[in-house]
Amino acid sequence: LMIAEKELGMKNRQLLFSAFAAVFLSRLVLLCICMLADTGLSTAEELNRWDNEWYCGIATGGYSLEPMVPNQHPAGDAANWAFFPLFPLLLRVIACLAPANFAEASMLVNSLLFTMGLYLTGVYILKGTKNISHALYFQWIYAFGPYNHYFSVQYTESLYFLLVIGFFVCMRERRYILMGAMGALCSAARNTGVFLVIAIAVHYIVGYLEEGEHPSLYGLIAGAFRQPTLIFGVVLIPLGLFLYIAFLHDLLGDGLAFIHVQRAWGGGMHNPIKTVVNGLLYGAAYDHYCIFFAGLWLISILKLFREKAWPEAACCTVYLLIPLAVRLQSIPRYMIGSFLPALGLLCGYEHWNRTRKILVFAVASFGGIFFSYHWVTGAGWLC
Amino acid sequence: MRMKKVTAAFLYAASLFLMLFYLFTLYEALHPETTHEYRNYYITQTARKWSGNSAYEYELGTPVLFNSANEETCHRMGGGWSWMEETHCWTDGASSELYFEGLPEQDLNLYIHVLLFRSGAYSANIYVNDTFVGEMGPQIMLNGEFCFKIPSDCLDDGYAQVRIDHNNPEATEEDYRLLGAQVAWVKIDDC
Repeated sequence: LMIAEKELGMKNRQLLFSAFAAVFLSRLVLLCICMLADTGLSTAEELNRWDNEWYCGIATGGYSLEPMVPNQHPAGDAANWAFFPLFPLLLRVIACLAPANFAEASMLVNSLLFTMGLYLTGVYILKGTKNISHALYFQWIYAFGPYNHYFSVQYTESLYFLLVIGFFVCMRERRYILMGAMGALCSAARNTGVFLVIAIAVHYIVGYLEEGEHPSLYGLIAGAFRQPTLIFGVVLIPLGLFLYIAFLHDLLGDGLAFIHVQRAWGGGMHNPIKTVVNGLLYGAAYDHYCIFFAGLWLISILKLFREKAWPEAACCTVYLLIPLAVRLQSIPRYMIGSFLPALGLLCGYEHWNRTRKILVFAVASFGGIFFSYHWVTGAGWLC
Repeated sequence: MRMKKVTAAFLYAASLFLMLFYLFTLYEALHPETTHEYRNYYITQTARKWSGNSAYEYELGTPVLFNSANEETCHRMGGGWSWMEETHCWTDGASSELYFEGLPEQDLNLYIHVLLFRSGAYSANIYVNDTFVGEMGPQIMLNGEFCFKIPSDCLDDGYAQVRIDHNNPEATEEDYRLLGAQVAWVKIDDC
């Protein structure tokens, strides 16, 4: 037992070191891209673009009482209520600690969160595959893959990635209170965070059906209520969202302002299939680009179901349907930042041969460099 | 063992407390307390433009002119209107809305000046805060001006949502719009 524990400790250290190395080297590549791209802006300005203004605005000035009129919204109806508070809160703490180098410090913190997330990803995959080289491969491909720049800029991606993977690690280890805390933070970070409830529900139901000799609805419900940590963990998940609702109600009189303000971005809730069909038939090239990523996302869901990773698959499905119900925009970013689609896409890679692994890594890294370069030079289609 | 029971009891109690908090917050969220401008634009999405939280303020007797020189009229318009033209604005669709705020709690008159109706078969029912106040149409038009009495009890703290429900709005082969009436101005005044 002691030898096994020692071995596990060694593997964990290896995963931690690998996560640091992968993030360090991939960020070095990102910095090189910034230096090579001749934009006339500082590195921080090159990397922090578009929506980061909203997050920084909330961090420095709080939530607004009325809609504001930033450049991109001439109708004057956009407001920062659409952006969930956890990341701006983190930015505010960073701004207090390092006011002079706020942009750089926040990027460093995001990179550290990404490193922690990658470490937990390694732990999670190691538990599933029992093979450390698979876990290491995933860490590196994720750090160098497409849209990896988002994990170091002033966006929620790093934080959300860390919390989602933390949630799943805790869930699989049945540490339900910690899982609930991760879920609560997730639901304070993004509107999709609260749907982690689905993952734990599926996890519990599958576990019950596998273990129970005579499964029944009564047994299913009673079994859950006999586990106080599970009940508390589940109830904890929506806390972040409900605190934000209570805050908005107090501020504006409308607790659901984060949904209602979507009108400013042309979003209402629609049938996700209709969104895709309309995009295909009437959309521009950018819509087709987003639909391509939605297609990849769908493949990843199917692969997760095939691997019988039921909670991950169920959650991944909801994570795709919600943004699609609103609009096509940002689907690629959500796909990479939500971790689960990437996990699904790489499902079964433990059976790949070395050549295929190298080839996939090379293509992903090329994609990473390509997208990072265009982000740095101000391509709006990468939002 | 005892410690375990105490912990379990605490967790159940905390879960119950959180559930009650969620229910209370949800109830509040479903009963927003906002300005009419906010409600109409963001929540019911009936208002056409966002123009701030005091866009519906109205001074009695001031005609709201529907023409391209008075773009501010759009601030108090809901759905059911076409674009502004030089002298008027067509109603477009089954229902057209206008919003007024700051009205005194007394009986008032609502005046609607119509230049033209789309067809002889057209008619419209006028409602103020969902209370029926009258009917208009080509058969009852004298000089284009219609006057309706707004009873004080149908005003909501000085707020009035004027809704024109159109019967038989028409589109043609050349014009896809469901046209009803050409409105030149609307006014609310003392009786």
